[in-house]
Amino acid sequence: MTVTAGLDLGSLTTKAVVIRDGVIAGSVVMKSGVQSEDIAWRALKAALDQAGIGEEQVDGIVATGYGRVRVPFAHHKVTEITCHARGIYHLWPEVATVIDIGGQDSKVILLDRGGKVRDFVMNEKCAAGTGRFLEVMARSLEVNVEEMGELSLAAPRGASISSMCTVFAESEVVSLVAEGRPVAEIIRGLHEAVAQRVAAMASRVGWEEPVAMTGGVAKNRGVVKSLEDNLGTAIRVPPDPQIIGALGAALLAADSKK
Amino acid sequence: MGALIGWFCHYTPVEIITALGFIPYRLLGREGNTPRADTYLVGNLCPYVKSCLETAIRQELPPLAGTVIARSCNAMIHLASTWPRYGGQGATLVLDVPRRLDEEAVLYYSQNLRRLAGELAWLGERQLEDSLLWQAIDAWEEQRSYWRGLLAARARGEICLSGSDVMAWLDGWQTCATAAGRDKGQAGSAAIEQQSRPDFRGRPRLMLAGSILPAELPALIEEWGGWSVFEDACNGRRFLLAEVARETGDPYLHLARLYLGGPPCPRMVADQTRRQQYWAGVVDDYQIDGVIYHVMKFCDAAIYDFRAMKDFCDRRGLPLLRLDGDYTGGARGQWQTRVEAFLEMF
Repeated sequence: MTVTAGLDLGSLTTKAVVIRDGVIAGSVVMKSGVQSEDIAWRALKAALDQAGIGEEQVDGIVATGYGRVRVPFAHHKVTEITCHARGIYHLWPEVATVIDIGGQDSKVILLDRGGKVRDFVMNEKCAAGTGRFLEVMARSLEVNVEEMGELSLAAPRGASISSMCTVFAESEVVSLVAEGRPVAEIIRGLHEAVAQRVAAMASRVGWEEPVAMTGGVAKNRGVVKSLEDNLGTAIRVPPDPQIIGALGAALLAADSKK
Repeated sequence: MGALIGWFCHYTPVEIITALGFIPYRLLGREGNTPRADTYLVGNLCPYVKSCLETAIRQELPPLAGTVIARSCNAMIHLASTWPRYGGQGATLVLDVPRRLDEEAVLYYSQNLRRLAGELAWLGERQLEDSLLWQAIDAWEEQRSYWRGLLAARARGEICLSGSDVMAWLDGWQTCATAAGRDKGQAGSAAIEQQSRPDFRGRPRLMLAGSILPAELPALIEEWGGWSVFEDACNGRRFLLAEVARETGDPYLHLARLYLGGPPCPRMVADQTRRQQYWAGVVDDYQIDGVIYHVMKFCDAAIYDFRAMKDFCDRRGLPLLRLDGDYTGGARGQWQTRVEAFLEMF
């Protein structure tokens, strides 16, 4: 029996996945904080408890995400680009493009037939097109970020959001609210703006079908739908897209044991 | 000890400065934000140029008798307008640089160099004889040829030099401010040969490219597992120019050929074919595995040059990573994930 763990320390959430012989045995998602090492350890413990596995049974740990460098008990540190690619390859080996929209950044990753990263592109040093962008807008609109997807799907049309700068877009949203535009239409407009930006990144790197989406924002059906409309293709979303980076990390830890 | 003359762009002929008894001092800016320079220059302008103005306003530069500003790009044109008023010290001398290499451009540039020499001579209150200029040309060529030889040995694998070592010594050589400054390059490169170095063999061999490279970038890339074996930047290999046949007669014509005929900068938009030939030579000679292109924010020349580099890399099947930077030293975290992911591809 091989037990490995993957830890994905993102800007908003920390994810832990424990796998036993290639199958997910436990997974958790926690809020990230400033004490990365502490959060990582607590997430790992929670995932192990869920799996009913003792920490002494873990054969390898890989840390990923922007906080990966602050996990001293990890055996290896691998970037989230490689981890998301590995996670999706495990689920759907035929996928050629992975779109990952996380809290702090968004990326488009091209895979070769063996699941190896062939090329990738990330957003610039800016919150536009990320989970943080949607979180700030949700706060301005006084809705829960989790509700945004369903609300936007109910809107007949999207309000036009011309600015993708988080600061300017927030002002624009406030103006639209003041004009009396329905909240659902504003949210749909925001999703379309995010989708257009990510689709432009995907075009820049030369995306190919089939496409899968990972990261917390993939749980937002409104963004997924807008992206599908922009790219003109169906997008596969795993049951829990937020843990795919951590899953990939756990799989890479298992790969290193072979 | 001669007085210092500041300079920015690598198309500035340092030979003229040394021939007149001055010491050339390259301005490379500073780490950190540029709040004071932002008062006088617009926000969407080259961060390197703003960084240099910031050092001047903060009086962080050594005393300068004058500064030569090559008006080689839009940002430098703005700097040339701003520097006399806010840059502070000494005279401001401007030099216009053509964007192509042909006989007309060489003649035009040689005339500009002669004018610059006249202005510097007036500043130094001395005459510049052609024989003195030829001596300076020979002295600089001797040092550059030493550096070129060292880097060629690095390409052949005879010595294992890190990109961070090379960039640090080249930076030191360009900003030398001592009487023995002209010899510092020689001393620096000799020190490189002698010092113990980490063995990077087996790592991906990378070409770094861009307009001007932030000093910390090669060191960070090597800290994260890569090996910078060629730095195509105006503070890197481009500054070493290329060997040209020694002319007799007009030294200004010789200098014009030497500088315009050297490895082309992204600003040489009419010389793109030669730039691609230059890259092809580098990839073959240095056995390049991948390219990291640093795009300076708001540097139009670098943004267009990156597109050309992408086409070049696609044709050659070379992995290419684009890094955006603003010359403040604050992009480390952003670069780390991108560079490490890029290296994981090899």
